[in-house]
Amino acid sequence: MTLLEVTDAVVDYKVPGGNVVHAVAGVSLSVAAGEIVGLVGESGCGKSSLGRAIVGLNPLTSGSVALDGAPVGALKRRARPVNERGLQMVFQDPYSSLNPRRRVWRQLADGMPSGLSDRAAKAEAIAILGSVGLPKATADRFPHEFSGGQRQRIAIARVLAAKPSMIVADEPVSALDASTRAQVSALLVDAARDHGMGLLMISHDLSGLRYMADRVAVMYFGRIVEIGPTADLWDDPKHPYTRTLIGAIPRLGRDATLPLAPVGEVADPTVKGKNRWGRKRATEHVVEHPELIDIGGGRMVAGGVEDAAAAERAIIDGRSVL
Amino acid sequence: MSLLTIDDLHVTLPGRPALVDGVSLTVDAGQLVGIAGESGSGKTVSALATLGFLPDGASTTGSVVFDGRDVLRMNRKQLQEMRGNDVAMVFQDPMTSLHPMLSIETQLTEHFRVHRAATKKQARARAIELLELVRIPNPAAALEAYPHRFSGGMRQRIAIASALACEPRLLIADEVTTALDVTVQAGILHLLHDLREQTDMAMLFITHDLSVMNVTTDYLYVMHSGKVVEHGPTRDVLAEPAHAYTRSLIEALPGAREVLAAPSTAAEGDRA
Repeated sequence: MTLLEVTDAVVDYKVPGGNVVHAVAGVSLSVAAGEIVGLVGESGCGKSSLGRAIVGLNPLTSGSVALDGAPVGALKRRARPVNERGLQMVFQDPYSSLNPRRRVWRQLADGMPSGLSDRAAKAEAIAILGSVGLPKATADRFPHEFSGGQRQRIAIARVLAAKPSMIVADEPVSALDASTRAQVSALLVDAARDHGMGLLMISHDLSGLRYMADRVAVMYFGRIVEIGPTADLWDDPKHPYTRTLIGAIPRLGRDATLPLAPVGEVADPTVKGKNRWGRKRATEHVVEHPELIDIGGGRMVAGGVEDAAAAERAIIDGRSVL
Repeated sequence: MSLLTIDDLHVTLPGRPALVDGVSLTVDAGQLVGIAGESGSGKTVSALATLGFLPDGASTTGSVVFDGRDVLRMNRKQLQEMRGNDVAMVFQDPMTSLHPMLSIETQLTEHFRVHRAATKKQARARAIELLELVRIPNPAAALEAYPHRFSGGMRQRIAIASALACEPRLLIADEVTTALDVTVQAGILHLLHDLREQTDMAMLFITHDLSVMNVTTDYLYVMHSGKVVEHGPTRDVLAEPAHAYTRSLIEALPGAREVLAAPSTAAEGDRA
């Protein structure tokens, strides 16, 4: 059953000079209850703008977001009503997403239903902290007393306190050391699975998503260019951009070679018209063929497989041009 | 003889555990050596000692011998002659290593004019050569521009160009691809690989990313709490780690178990 439904989402930003940048240029995406969907792309592809728009931190220029069939509007000055708090977000940087001047349990209590006594809220907070692997004493402390990994656990506990049905996590582990990354990712995944929540994991790191996500959506230039079950997409990427992205990941193992390097830089949506440094022709192809075509097996590719072959040629041409 | 020999280096600040606690390593001419470790393991402090940069108030024992001379015993003038000339460094964040208010030309010609007493014209010609070397399109136009005009990957290429100005014999690359996207990272790794083919420059490559280490370096030192816990040819160390710490670092990586379980076969998905 579909839990989160994003339909034709568009996010525009005005930039100096009166121009408009389409950070998100028409994205449709759904997440089912208990499903983990990865959203992967490089800096500037619009993945964070989309994530923020889904939870209402950015207004949508057009399109809609619905949670359990009910529309989710942009956040305004007033707090969201309790019955609309089913959608929660985990941010990249737990330093800035936690209030440095309030005790941990108080921050967890913010998300709980109102009318709870302090004693009950604190007991609940301690239970939730325990579920993310933090000791009881955490409740009375302040965020600065913890390491980055612990702080991200607190941020996750805060989200869980609101008993969400859907979590959007924007690069939740990129700021952490490699050894804590795996643990914090596993924590989010377990929480989602145990409570039957939907989880949208936004990341620049496809190799990290590979072991977590049920499905992965690849975003490029404000659009989804390919979406499908994680293993299928990893083993047999159809869209040329997905191939580029996977080919560029350095590997472990004795036989690993230097990753493939695409020529040029990622297209910059703030540059109008002729994109001087960008992978111009590949980008044009993506712009001309934005529609996702179902190729079976739950997979969709922008422009379909035949057009993807044409896009590949465009990228190869682009190489010889640049 | 080795180009760089660090022997039993200790770097300590009063009242704190040692930053570097008995590190020994060697880099031969043309060799690509890696130092891996998590934040706070002392990898950057060890590398900075090679340039004679030490934290304020730090005391050192041991030696850092570059080309037969002990860097820790050099005076200010000797250090200045060495830095940027024999040994150069590239940092993680190109926005902090490039000056935002100076043109690329000013920044790329400075070393050459200082160390080689070149004229403005010679230095400019060299700067264009360098930008071509790091594959910046339209180098003459790029010289007139300022750092903000370029993307992260381009800035890192320019920072590398500036380090290469005087053809150093040792380049220290500290987390140079960490802040970059994978596709941009792949471009920088190719660039470093090509530079090495073209020159006999040695490189000391510092990163916490073991996959990057695996595809770039010949020899690897793994550091933890200021000590080298394991060293050896990179692929051997990463495929069959002997030390528990190295093993735990590898196991924390997604998909590492497959690689460790079958050390001599390709990781699944290598065909991609």
